Amino acid sequence: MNLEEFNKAVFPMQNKLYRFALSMVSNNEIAEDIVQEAFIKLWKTRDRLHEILNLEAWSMRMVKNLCLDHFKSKYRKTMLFEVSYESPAAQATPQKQAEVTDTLQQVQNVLKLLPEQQAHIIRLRDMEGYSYKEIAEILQIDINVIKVNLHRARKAVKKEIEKNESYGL
Amino acid sequence: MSHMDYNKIKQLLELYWEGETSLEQEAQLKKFFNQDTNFIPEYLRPYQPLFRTFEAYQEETISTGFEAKMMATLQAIQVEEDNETTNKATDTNAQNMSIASAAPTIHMPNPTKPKNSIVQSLYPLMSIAATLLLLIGSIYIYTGTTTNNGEVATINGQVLDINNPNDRKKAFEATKMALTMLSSKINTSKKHLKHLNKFNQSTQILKSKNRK
Repeated sequence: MNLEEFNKAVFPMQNKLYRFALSMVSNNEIAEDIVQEAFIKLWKTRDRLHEILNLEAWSMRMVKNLCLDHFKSKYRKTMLFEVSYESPAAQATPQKQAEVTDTLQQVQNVLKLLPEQQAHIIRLRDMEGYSYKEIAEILQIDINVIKVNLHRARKAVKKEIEKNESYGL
Repeated sequence: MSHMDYNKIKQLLELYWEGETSLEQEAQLKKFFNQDTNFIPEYLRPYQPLFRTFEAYQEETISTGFEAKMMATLQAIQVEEDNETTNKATDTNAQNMSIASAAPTIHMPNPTKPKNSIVQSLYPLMSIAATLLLLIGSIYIYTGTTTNNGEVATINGQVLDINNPNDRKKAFEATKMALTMLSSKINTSKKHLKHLNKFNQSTQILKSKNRK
């Protein structure tokens, strides 16, 4: 696979990979670094990429693993130097903060309340439009587990929306 | 949108909460909720932000310079890899050439065979043996030459033949002179030893005083 072919096959998924990384690490720069690392890994194995059935799901899984590696090293660093990253809210510019409407923020907050796996599933399904099979491949879990968790996640979101609605928010 | 259509959306929404909608049905819901709020009936409005968030999420994109930066990085990696493969190729060539040049003198059918590696491991021992052989040889030659001309004496650099009576007398005189000189030197140093008696005398005094 030459650079042109790689460009056509891999680069269209850069934003999906980035958003997935961002949902995990909550930091634009780190998310971008992770996507970069994933692309380098893919490029180094470019001769075997045609063997992969679903390159996008495979790449998403790679990003997930890189994010987990990042957390492991972050944990080690925090243990050693007591370093903590700035939260995305602290990094956002005032303009960006203003762009985020209250209602959208409200939904984001609801998603944040979900257990990690449920939040991943609802993001991959409702935001990125992946099939159950693809989500199973990305998260390496059984399809039935995904269906159950998606159902729970949506129920929780509904409950939260209706609760806020009854409070007149 | 008619009342019937709203009912359909409501049904889809129910299926959605249950997790039983297909990707197509979910796309319909997203499309419906992402239109202007005025077209959405009051009872469905609370759910609009959720589906809007799903759409807004798509607007979150990687920085604009990422692709160009990435392409440059990947190209650099490729160049590095190409260099590595050429280096490897030249290394193999060099190996082949060294084997070829060694072939006329040493028979090496397969350089990886253990037999050859044993021979190679013996090289240091062989060099030690060669050095020892050279050393023994040189000692033998040196001692050989001295025994051949054994009956020769030198005095002040002058070579004397022991078989010649005159030279023999000269050698005797020289030896006598040397021994006399040695004896005189010993006598001189012996004089100085007399001072040691003083130590003996003083220790004797101390001993006698202690007895008392």
